[in-house]
Amino acid sequence: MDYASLGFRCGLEIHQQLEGKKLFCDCPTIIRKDKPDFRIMRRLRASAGETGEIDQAAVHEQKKQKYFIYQGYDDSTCLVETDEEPPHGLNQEALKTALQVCKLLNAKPVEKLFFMRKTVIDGSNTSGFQRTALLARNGFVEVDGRRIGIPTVCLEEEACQVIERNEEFDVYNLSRLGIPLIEIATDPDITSAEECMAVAARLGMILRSVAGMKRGIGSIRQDVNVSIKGGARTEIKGFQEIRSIPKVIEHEIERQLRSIKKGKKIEKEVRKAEPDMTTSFLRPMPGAARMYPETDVPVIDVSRIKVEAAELLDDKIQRISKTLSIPKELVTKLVKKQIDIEGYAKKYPGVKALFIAETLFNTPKEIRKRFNVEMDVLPHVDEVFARLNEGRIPPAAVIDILVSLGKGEKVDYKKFAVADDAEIEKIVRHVIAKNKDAPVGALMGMAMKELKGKADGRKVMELLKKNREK
Amino acid sequence: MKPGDSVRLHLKDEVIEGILMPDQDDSYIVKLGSGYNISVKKQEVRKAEVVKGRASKEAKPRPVKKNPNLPDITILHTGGTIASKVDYETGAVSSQTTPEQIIESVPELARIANIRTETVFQMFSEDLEPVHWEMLAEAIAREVKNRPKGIIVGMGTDTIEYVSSALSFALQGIDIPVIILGSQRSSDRPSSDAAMNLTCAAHFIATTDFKGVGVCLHDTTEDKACLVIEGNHVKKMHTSRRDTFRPVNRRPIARVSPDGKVTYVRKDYNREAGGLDLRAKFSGRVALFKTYPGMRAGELDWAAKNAEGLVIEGYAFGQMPINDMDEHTRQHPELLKKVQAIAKKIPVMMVSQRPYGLTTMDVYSTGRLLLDAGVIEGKVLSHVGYVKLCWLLANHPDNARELISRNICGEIVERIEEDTFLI
Repeated sequence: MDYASLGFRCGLEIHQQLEGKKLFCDCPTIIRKDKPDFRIMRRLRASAGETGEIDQAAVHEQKKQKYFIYQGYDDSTCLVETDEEPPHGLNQEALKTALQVCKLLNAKPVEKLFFMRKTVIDGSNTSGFQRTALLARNGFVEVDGRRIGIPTVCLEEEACQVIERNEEFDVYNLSRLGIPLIEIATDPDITSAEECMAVAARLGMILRSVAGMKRGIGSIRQDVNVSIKGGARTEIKGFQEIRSIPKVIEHEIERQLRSIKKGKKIEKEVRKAEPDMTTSFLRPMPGAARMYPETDVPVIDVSRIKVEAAELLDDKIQRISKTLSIPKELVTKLVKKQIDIEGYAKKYPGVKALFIAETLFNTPKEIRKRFNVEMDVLPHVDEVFARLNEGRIPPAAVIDILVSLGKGEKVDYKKFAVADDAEIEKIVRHVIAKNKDAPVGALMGMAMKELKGKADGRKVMELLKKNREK
Repeated sequence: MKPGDSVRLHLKDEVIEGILMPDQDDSYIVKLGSGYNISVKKQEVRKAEVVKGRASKEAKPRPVKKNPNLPDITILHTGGTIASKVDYETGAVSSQTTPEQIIESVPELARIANIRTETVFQMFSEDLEPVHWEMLAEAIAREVKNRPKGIIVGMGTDTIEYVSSALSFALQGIDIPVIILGSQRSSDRPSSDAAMNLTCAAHFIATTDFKGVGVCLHDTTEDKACLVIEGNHVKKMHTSRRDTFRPVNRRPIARVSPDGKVTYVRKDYNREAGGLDLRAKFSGRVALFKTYPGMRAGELDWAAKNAEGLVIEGYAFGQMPINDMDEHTRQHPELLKKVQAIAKKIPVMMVSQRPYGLTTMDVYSTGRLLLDAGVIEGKVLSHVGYVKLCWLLANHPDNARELISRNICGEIVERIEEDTFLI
């Protein structure tokens, strides 16, 4: 596609959920799908703005005059989610996490944080508005040598998850409502569908560089805004994965081109990315003017909050790979699993970092394959690494010990203890005596088998040579 | 530059455009085109210009025609907004008080009644004094002469139960329903309970034969129905929930759904009208004291000196710490003496600090000692006792003591029914 001649304009909006507590209450950020403990029926109504105009998206919902059923849980949703209590104080951890992201995006935090009420009456917020605040402005990211502007970074509340939509009512689950959400908007600087995906990937990496991000499906969402000459801006939501971004954009451009050809007017609207990479109508584009101050939340002086700069994930992988001599791919995998390889390496200096890395990432797979045991090694590795670090067990014994631990057996560490020189020598002499003419390589294999990994190979070879010459 | 102006602020390396909000400390607050507010330190602004003056777009709501087939309802405003409008351009919230404005916000009202409105005063409900109850009662008495089917009073929710009790005493014999309401979620929010409370109150007034004072607010946390509860038997039980107003010691009059269905819960609500006997005076010199472990007799000195009536919230049956039990309670009998001395001068009424049930002071010796000291049992809810004594002292100063035990306007529940607890 010739994006330049199409007059292609494209920008991204990324929403990332944070882990921990909700933004304005003490509920956990656990998204639930199990049987709710209670249900509440509510209605929302749009209030007319002073101009007499009601927000376009708001009108769309009110026309339907739907009511809403909210599902809640006694132990993970409270009166804040049910809109029966004012918001509690702002979650300071979430604020700090968001500020760390701002730093990586080169965006300048605002002096004062003003939470606003963004009117949303589709039922996804029990209050009828989303609490949102502009946290930082005028940042940028570099993607393949091009600079993409980040005009705004916002900190806001996640909405309820829709469970079902009906003619007369919609059902929402309250567990997602109020989860802290970082919203990153780019300028419409993106010049192609591929670049859009690259920018999304870059922003995703930046977000994952900061501790406290929620992981898993739905924890990060990309909204793509696209327009072409003669068409209209559409916002595409609901990408299953970022790899589908280019194809969906291409299909949306084709859709707009077909409409332009037929002389049909293209509406500004929000569209949904479908699994077949096409888009479908979701709702009209919300107007801009639908915010007013959230008087229940005091203004927060952001300039007084100092945060540590987080290390960019790509830089971190590079650094760990270099300093600990572990291949980049393996470091990437460990970092992705949020395993603190540096911490282990520091704690157990007597164990080779690469061995630790392999034990943490590859050994579970090997255990599954060879021993048919499915296990999480993380709860057990400290026990094993500590002994390894003190030289009390040989590296070769680690896998057997882990298997035993994985089976829930009691490990007899004496069995795995490193053999002393006298013990090795005894076995070596025995092997030599039994196989007088065997080459040294064969003798080594036999000795090692006898020793069951209780000795270091170099030591065995040394003693083997010494005793053979006798 | 003044709030509401479209402005352009030139900083060192950027220009900020938006609508100016009221300043905060040393900063300008600007509402950006995106809708967000942002603060800009005044000292960092190199040049500030007004792009466009404040746009005055006072859009007039559509006039409402009177429907001769519908009853008339008057809404009296006292502060606390029933309806409001958000100006998304400036973020300002304005309260809507005229009939046209209210119907614009709550259009379904136009199908229930012809609405008339009047603003009595603009007060936070927490700042209301007994004198405001007088002003409100007088305004209602004036409005009754216009023969509406009923009157709705909109107010902040914090002292609704005091006002509903005060009006019950002041407006005896009134031949229309007077329904007080408010909202627990402000009316600017799409989730506000105000519109439904208002709609339900209007439906109730339009069809009921109840005469007297009641309140009408959410029955549950859901937007399904409101409860109409008599003015002397309601209490705000929760700081924030929609269904905070509960009937106490008595079942509600009715349950009203926003589509207009009225289900009467009781049959014995007041239908009689003896004609309005307005007695809108309330003493502003009644004191209310709460009994608590560690209470000292000296605390009552202020009341002894300044008040013309004293209400004491005792423990359940009306008990106070007046017994010398051990070395830590030697001072307790002093409290009894103090109460006795005060009761000689002014009426002293005992109510219970428990929300449910009544005082029964002759059950225990402690209560009997207090009765002997001149304390009179209120047999009403604590706040109702306070309002009643304010009313008695202003309207019946000569026999206020005697009238404390008299059931003036149904405030004393003679029979507490089985299913009146925690409803």
